[in-house]
Formats: sequence, C-alpha cells, structure tokens
Amino acid sequence: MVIDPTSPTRDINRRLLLSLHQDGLLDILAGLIVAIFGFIPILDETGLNAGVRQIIILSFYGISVFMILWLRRKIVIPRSGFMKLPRKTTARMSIIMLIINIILFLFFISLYLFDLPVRDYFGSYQMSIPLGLVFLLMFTVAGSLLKAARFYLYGILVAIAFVVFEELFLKGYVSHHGIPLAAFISGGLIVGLGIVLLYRFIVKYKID
Amino acid sequence: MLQDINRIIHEPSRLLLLIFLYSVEKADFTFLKLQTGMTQGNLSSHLHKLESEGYIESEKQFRNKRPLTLIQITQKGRGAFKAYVESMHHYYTDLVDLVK
Repeated sequence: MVIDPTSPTRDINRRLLLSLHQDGLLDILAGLIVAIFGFIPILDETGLNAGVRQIIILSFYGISVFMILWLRRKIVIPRSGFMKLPRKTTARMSIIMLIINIILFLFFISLYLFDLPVRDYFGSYQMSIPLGLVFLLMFTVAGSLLKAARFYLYGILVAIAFVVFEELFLKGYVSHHGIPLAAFISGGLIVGLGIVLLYRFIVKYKID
Repeated sequence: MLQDINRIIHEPSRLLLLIFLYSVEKADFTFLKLQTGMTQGNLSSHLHKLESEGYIESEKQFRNKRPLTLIQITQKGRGAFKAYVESMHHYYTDLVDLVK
C-alpha cells in the first residue's frame, strides 16, 4: 500500500474515514431514515392514538438501526476488520451532531410552536422548504465529517424532492404536501445506492 | 546521530503499522492487514516485534465464535513513535540543507 508522501496524515485520516462508509451501510440507514419520514403524515390519518403512532415510527427507526448493526457485524467486520477511532475524534463528531440537533430543535420550535414570522418567508412551501433544509443540513454535516461527497448530493436530492413534490401537491397531483412520495422516492434512491455500494464491498472484500 | 535511529520503528512496514495505530484507538488484525496490504505472516511477524518491544499490546477475544485480536499502541509506543518522528525531522532538515 502506498501512502501519499506529501500528506501522510491526511491520507491515513481519509482511509480511516473511508473505512467507516465504503460499505454503504450508512447510506442505507440514511435512506431508511428519510423514507420512514414519509410514513408520518400517512399514519396521522389512520386515527391511531398519537402515542401509538410515535411508537410505530420509533419502531421503524429502531429496526433499521438494529438491521444496520447486524449487517455490520455479520458482513462488514469479517471482511474489512474492526477499527475504533480515537476518543477525541468521536467526541468532536458527537459535539458537532449535538450542536446541529440543538439548532434544528430551536428552528422547529420557532417555526411551529411559537408560530414566529419566519414561517411566512416560505409561503406555500412552509412544509417542504424547512424539511428540505433540515435534511440538507444533516447530510452536509455527515458528508463533511466523513469526507464523503456523495452525502452532499443526497442532501440536495432530498431537498429538491421535497420542493418538487410540494409543487405537485399545490397543483393537486399528490397528497400530504407531497411528503410521503418525496421521502419514499429520495430515500429509496439513497437506499438503492447504499445496496449497490454494499454489493461492491462484498465482491471486493472476501472473508479470509 | 544516525546510529541512534530507532531501527524497530524505522523499518517501513512497522512504521506504517505504527502510523495507523497512532491514528486509531484500537484496530483488529483484519483491518491492519487490509489497510497496510501486508500478508498474514508478514503482519504477524511485525506485530510480534512491536509487541516484544512493548510498543503495542494485543487483546485476544472471540466474537461470533471467530477469534478477534484487538491491537493498540501503548504509552511507550506513542513516546517512541513521537521521538522517532522528531529525530527524523531533525535529520531530514539537516540533509535538505546539505543537498541545497
């Protein structure tokens, strides 16, 4: 293996980060998170109790995370090995994610609970633009932390999908502000790309 | 003095291993093998050498009925690696002046 002699530290870091996402499992998880989001407005109309609806959605997320961890243990680790990043690096990543979550929390509080004027800026797109921005922000942060450009594209894809399907909703072609279709289609595409990456990973790395 | 260079670390394969182990908290045998491109025998031999110097420590476990060897750099290893990098930096700075 040849390490880039001009910047060995950066090259090693790139390789370490690549080992975290080259298997496509993070893509599959991210796609599932987006796709599951599409069930929320559909479940809202079922007449089920709010608590039950939350349990169903959280169960979907729980099953997704469990499935990804299981695939990682059974497929990825036997092929590419196990590595734990230094505590300093994981702590830095956790702090960044925490800050982003706080920003998002405050953003939604300001938008929907206190009904602040910021809501007016988005006009007919008051659902799609905030949601698109949230996913765009999350994917941008993930792409930046993992140094994986495709996550930026995922963010753009999801954000555009929410706006396009909101437009279709305004023209009467789809229901629920287009959220279910936007989430299923963009999330499904991301899951599909993740499966392709996982397949390539399995073909490339054999178990010893 | 050049004779004082730490020859255990100076060997390219072991240097590469220490660079990886310095950059992570711990890693297993498969990960190091894949990242360094060494053969199983080569990797075992270099890890053994580093372990016998006290630069790394390994912990053997079983996960899913498969053996798992977790390797991590020790404090002694970190210190030796840092000292090696600093001494090489000094030598090469000197050599750059010589060839200019």
